[in-house]
Order: sequence, then C-alpha cells, then structure tokens
Amino acid sequence: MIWKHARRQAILIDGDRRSSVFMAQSRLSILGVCFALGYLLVMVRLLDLAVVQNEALFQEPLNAAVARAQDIKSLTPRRGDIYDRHGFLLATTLKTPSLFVDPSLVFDEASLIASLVKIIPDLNRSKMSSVVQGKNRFGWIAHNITPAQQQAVLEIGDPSLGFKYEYKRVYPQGSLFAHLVGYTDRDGLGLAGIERGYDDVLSAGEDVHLSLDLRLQHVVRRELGTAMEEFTAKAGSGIILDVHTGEVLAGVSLPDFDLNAAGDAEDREIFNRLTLGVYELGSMFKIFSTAALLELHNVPMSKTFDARKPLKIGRFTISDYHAKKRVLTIPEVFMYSSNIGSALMGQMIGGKALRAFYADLGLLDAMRFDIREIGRPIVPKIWRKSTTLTASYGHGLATTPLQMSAAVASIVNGGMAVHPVLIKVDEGAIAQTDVRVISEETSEKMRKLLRLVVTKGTGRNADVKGYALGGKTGTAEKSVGGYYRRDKLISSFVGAFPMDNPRYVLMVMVDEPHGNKKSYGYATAGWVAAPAVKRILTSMASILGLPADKYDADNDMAVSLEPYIHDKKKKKIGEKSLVSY
Amino acid sequence: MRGIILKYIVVSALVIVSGAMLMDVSHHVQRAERDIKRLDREIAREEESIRVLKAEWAYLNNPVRLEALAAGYVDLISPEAAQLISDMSVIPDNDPQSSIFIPKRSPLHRDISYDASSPKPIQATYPTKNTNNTVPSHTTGGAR
Repeated sequence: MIWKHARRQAILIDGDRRSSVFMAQSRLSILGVCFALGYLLVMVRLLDLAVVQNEALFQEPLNAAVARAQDIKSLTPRRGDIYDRHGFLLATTLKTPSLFVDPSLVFDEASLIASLVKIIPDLNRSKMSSVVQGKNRFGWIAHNITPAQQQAVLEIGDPSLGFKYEYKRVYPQGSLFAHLVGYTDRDGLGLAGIERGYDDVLSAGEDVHLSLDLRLQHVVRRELGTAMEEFTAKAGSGIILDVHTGEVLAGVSLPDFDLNAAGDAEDREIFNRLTLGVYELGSMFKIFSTAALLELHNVPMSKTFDARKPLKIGRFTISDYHAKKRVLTIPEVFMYSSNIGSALMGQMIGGKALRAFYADLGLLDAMRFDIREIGRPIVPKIWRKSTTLTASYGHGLATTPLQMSAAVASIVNGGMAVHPVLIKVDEGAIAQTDVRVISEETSEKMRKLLRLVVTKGTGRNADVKGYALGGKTGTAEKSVGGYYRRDKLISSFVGAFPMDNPRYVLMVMVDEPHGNKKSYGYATAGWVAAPAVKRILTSMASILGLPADKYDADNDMAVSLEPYIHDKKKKKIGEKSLVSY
Repeated sequence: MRGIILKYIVVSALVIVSGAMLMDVSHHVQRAERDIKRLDREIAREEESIRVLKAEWAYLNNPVRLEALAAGYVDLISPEAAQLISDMSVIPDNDPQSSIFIPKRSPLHRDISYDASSPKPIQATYPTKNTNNTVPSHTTGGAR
C-alpha cells in the first residue's frame, strides 16, 4: 500500500519535477543567452575601442599628456607662430624659466643676493632684499632668464630658489618686421600689428602665415635706410604690393625698433608710417586726376593745357616746379609733373566727379586692413572750386602710403580695385574683387604715361634697363603749423613693373630729406626716392629670379606717346640702344 | 567524492594561474604607463628644444647678419639685373639648334665625342669661361 502510494506519489512528483526542471532549464537558457549577448556586447565594444577607434581615442590623451608634461600651469594654449610667405619664422613662443625665491628658506641673504647679481646683472639690489625679506613664501626674482643663467642658478644650489616656467614671445628677426608683425605684452596679449589684429587666432594656438617676403622686406628696409642716411632724412616708409592679389610683400616704416625690446622703443620709432601716418604725397595724385580725365572724358592725348603762366584762383597761385612755360599736351603735363596742367584737368573733370573718383579708389576713407593701426585720410571738409584744382595735384589731401600704393595698383592692374592684405593668399585663388574702377583702355593709357615718366620725365633716375618700370614722382612741401615749408619736403616715388602687364607696385617715401652734393642740393623725389626704387627693383629681380628683357628703346611702351611731346632736338635716325645680356 | 575534490583542485589551480596572470598583466600596464609618462616628458622636452633651435636658426638666418657675413667672407657681389637669364636655352651649350658643336660635359660622352672614328669633325671649342660665369647659381633666388 505504502509502496503503491509512494509510487503514485513518485509518479506525481516525477511529473511535477519534469515540468519544473524543464521550466528551469528554459529559464536558464534564456538567462544564458542574455549573458552571452551581454558579453558579446562588451567584446564588440572592446574591439571597437581597441581596434576601430584606436587613433581617435589614444591620440587625444597623448597630446593632453604632452601638454601636461610641459609643466606650465596654464590652461590657455601656446600662442601661435607667425611666418612669412615662404615659412621663415617671424615670431614664436618659447618656454623660459623664471626665478622665484621662498623667503622662509633663505639662509644667508647677503651672499644669496650677491651671487644672484653676478648671474643676472640687471637685478635691482634694494628691490631684491625687500623681496627676500618678504612675509610671503613666494617672491619673483627675475622673469624669463636664459638657459645659461638657469644653469648658473642651479649651480648655486640654494634650496630657497626655484623655477616656474613661463611663455615668452621671441622675434628672431629683431626689428625687420617691427610695425607689421607687432608685439605683445608679458601676458601674451597682442598690442600692435598682426599680434593685435590676429590676437584671437594666435591666442587660440593657430599659426599665421603672412604675405610678407623676408628677403624683399630686407631689401626695402636696406634701401630705404640708405636713402634716409644719404639725404639725412627724418623718417621713411616703403612698400612692395602684388597688384593682383593685393598682398603686401614688403612693408617698412623707419625708424624702427627691436621687437624683443619693444618696451624700450621711443614713440617716433613705434609710429607706423606705412598705415597709420597720413602724408600729403603731392604729385602722385596726378595719376588719379589724369586717369579720371581719360576715363570720364573722351579726350585724345593731344589735348593741350595752357601752362604758360601761374594760375590764380582766389588767394591761391598754382605754379609749376619744373616750369616749361608753354602749352602742354597730356603726356607732357604728366611727365613734367605740371601743377597748372593738372589743375586745369581738375577743372575739366569737375569737383564732384573728381571727388567720387578718389573715393572709388579708397583714398578718402580709412581703409580696411589686417592690422588695426590705420590712419584716416585728411580730406578738405568743404570742397570749394579751388579745392578741386589743388586736389587734382594732391595738395591738401593726406593719405597713408599703403593706401596710395593700393590705389596705384588699381590703376595699373587693368582697372580692378585692390584691397591690400597682410595674410598670404593661396596660389591659384580667384581674383580678389570684381569691382572695376577704370576701364582696361584707360589703364593701358595710364601705364604708358607712367612708363613715359621713367623714360623721359621726372622719374628717370629709377630706370633699370630691361625692366619696364613705370612710375610717378611726388614732392610735397610739409605743412608745419598751418604753413607750407619750402625746406621741409616729403619726397616719394611710386612705381609698377613690368609695365606691359604689371605684377608689382613699389613705393618709397622719404620724410624731410636734405639735398647733398651728389644730388646737386636737390631733395626732390626724382633725386631721393626714384634711385631707392631703382635699387630695390634691381635686388628684387635677382631675388625673385626675374630676368631682364632685351631692351629696345624703339619698342618701348612709351614710344607711342612721343608724337605728343614737344622735342627740341629731334631724335637722330639709326640711334638705337640695345642692351643684351 | 574524489571527482569533486579533483574538480576543486583544478578550479583553484585555474584561479591561482589566472590571478597570477592578471597580476603580471597589471604590472606590465603600470610599467607601460610609467614609460608613456616618461616618453611624453621626453617628447615635450625634445619639442621644446626643436622650437628653441628653430628660433635660433631663424635668428642666424637674419638677412642683415647674412649680408654682413657675406660681405666679409665671400668673394662675390650681387648679380646685376642684366646677368639674370630665364631659360637655359640661351646658353649655347644646351641649344640643340646651335651651329656650334660643343662636346657633352659628362666624361663618358666626352670619350665618344673625341673618338677618332667619329664621322663628325670637332669644329668648335668648349664654351668660353665667360659663358660659364654668366650663369648665376641662384636664378630662382634663395634666402639673401
């Protein structure tokens, strides 16, 4: 009975067990699958991290670790470097040691100070002892010392001394790029030049590549310096501009200063005469008034202007410096730089049109540029009838030299407006603007006129055989205290070459030159600035590898203008100057 | 019973072995991390010295300095504009149309040219010394 019962029981249990075992098994296998899936997920993720995302994940922390290893306690990235267009270094940031003292650990104050002064000569002893006696456990002794000085301090072995590392801005080219690169304060905040204009880019750690060419910059600076020395001038500036991209290839303002010691520079050295200083550049404006005449009025080159006697208008008397005392054609007005002729041209153009033309060339407003030191041109507030006459030869209008060279670039490059830039333009980039200032034909006529000035006119001293340089001189009297002074001049020359298809605009401006024996006492542009441009062009040609063309006087661009020039001695037939290599 | 004991022995041996392996791996990782830190420091130091050297190189290449050195130590002057040439074909040496026969410069070719059995007579001379001198070595410029 019992057995029977038990058996039934067993059968019962067996049935229960079977079903519950079956249930547990299925639950287990579900769980097992879940776990397997979980592990699979982990494995896939591991594979993903270790193999697929390896680069992205492990590069980043490495950089961070490198940054940490620099042991500079600063969250801001290292300031970006500044390079010239060919990658020469113009400004960089180096990690330099700064020396501090913990006064509580100082054992022998006098000997410590004595040995430190021996290593760092410009330490102030009294200031030093007040730091060493200080209550704080920290006092600066010297910022940014050299590695050699650091080594010497380490050799003292004084436990109270320690180093913290700080960034220091270093300018390997010294004063060569003083005004355009600019400088920073000790905390790395840009105060001038590109350092200021591109402060946000540089402080984010990005490098900046400028349009400047180190070699051309040096040439311009050297030749401008030579001209200033030769004519005992006060100051000067010089530019080389690419007429298509508007890139400033060289930009110099003299006197300049060493960027590594910008704090010691004098005001007259810091002043940027290229973009901030505004000057009456005189006859250069004849380029624009002549272009306006040719553009707005359909006049032939043979059109004449009576320059026999000085022009009187109101209290002004307009007279010529290189007076010819006869009736002049347009090329003659331009090549002899006749004020009377240009004033008459201005009269013909009319005040409103002339003003609008100058404005189109960007001569009447402060220009936009990559640095912030920009001068605002001085323009007559009320544009009278007499203003039109004087403005046509540049009297009473003051602009920055950079602005002037950009306007000339717009005239010679075929008539498209040029905006100067200081940041390198990628090669093959499309043309900067499509704003047309003058027509192609007017540009061509102007190029011939500019070439004529160099072959036959006031700019003869700038001529280099084989390079079709064209240009215009500008000699202006400086206005001092409201009076124009005959003895204080601004002599400048703006040139472009090669004139059949200009690529570069060169400009040199010399402030208050004095005549010397070699120039027969003259301090005018033709004697001061034109030879400087010639020397710059010669050096530039060998640097950039621009070979001279075979020079043929009979095929010169300006030859077509010769019929309009009154020539006393007729040219001998067969006189042909040929310059070969 | 023996089966169970055996099982335990095997399992605990596995635990010990895997534990030891884990220790070893973690030790390796720690050492690798130390190495990374050291290498990072070395990289940073090297990078810093590269920057210093670059700055010094730029300083030594300052054109004012180079010009002064060249004036003192080099027997050359800046080329005149007329000395520059744009393409090498101007030099008769390289001009295939040139009527002047000039032997090739390389020694191998020179031997062939001067071979007595060569039907071509040797008419002309080497380019004069002057021609050699007018070839500036830096028509494309360079840091000057």
